[in-house]
Amino acid sequence: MPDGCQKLLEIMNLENILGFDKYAGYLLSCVALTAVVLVGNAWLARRALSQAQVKARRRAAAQRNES
Amino acid sequence: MNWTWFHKFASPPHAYRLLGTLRPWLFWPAVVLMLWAVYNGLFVAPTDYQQGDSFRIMYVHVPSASLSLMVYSMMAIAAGIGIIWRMKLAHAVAAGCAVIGAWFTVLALVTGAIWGKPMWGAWWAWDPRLTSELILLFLYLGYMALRASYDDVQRADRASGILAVVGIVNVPIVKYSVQWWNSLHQGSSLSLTGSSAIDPSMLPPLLAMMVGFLLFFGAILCDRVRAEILTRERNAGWLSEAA
Repeated sequence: MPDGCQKLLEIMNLENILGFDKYAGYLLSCVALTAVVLVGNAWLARRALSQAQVKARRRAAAQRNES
Repeated sequence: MNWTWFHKFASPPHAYRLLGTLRPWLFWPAVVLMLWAVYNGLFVAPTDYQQGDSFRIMYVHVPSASLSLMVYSMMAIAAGIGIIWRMKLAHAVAAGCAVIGAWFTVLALVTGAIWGKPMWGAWWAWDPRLTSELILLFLYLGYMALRASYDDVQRADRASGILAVVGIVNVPIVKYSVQWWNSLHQGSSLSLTGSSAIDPSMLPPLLAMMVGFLLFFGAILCDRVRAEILTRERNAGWLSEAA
C-alpha cells in the first residue's frame, strides 16, 4: 500500500483519533470549539457584508429611480 | 515624507476595493496553514513528558490568547488614530476588530479552562493572568455596548474610542502578569528575543497556527471593515457604482 494511503488510514483510525491518552475529551472539545468559533466568525462577517451590500444596492436603485 | 499613500488608503472607496482584493489572499493561505498545523499538532508533534497529550490544547489556546491581545492593541491604536485625525476608516477598523477580538478572547478563556481542569484540577482560578484576560473580554464587550448605545455614529465613535484607548493599559497587565505576580499560569513558551522554552519538535505547528490565525483574522477583518464602510457611507455617491 502506498505510504500516503497508509498514513490516511492511520489518521482515520478511531483509535488514533481518540487515543490522546486520557485527555481526548478535553483536547477534541477544544479543537471542535475553535473550529466552530472560526467558521462562525467567518460566516457572520460574510453575512454582515452581504447584508450591507444588499442595502447599498437597494439605496442606489432607489436614488436612480428618483432621479 | 510623502503621506499620499496613507491618505489614499484612508479614502473609503479605495479601502473598500483594496480590502475586497486582499481578502482571498489572506483567507486561503490561513485555511491551508491551520489545517497543516492541526494535523501536525495533533498527530505528529511528540507527547509532552509532563502534561501528556493535554499540551496539544496549546495549539489552539496560545494563538487565540495572543491574538486577543494583538487585536485589542490594533483596535485601540485605530480608535486613537480615529479620535486624533478624525479618520472615519480608522473607527471602522476599530469597530471591525471588536467583534473578532471578543470571540478570540472567549476562545482563549474557554480553551484555557478546559486545559486547566485536568492540569490544575479546576476550571477557573482567580489568577492574575486569567482575571486580566477576563477584564479584556469585558473591555471588548463594553466597547461594543457603548457603540450600540448611541444613534449618532460620530458620538459612538468618540465615546467607544476613548474606552478602547484607556483600556489598552490592560494589555501589558495581561502580558506580564505571569512575571509581575505569583501566577499559577505558566510563563511564555515563545520568545522573540531569547530562547523559547518549547521543544523545537513542537514549535512548527504552533508557529503555523499563529500565522494562520493572524491571516484568518485579517481576512475576516476585511469583510467586517467593508461592511462598516458600506453602512457609514450610505449616502456617498461612489456607493452607487460600487454596489
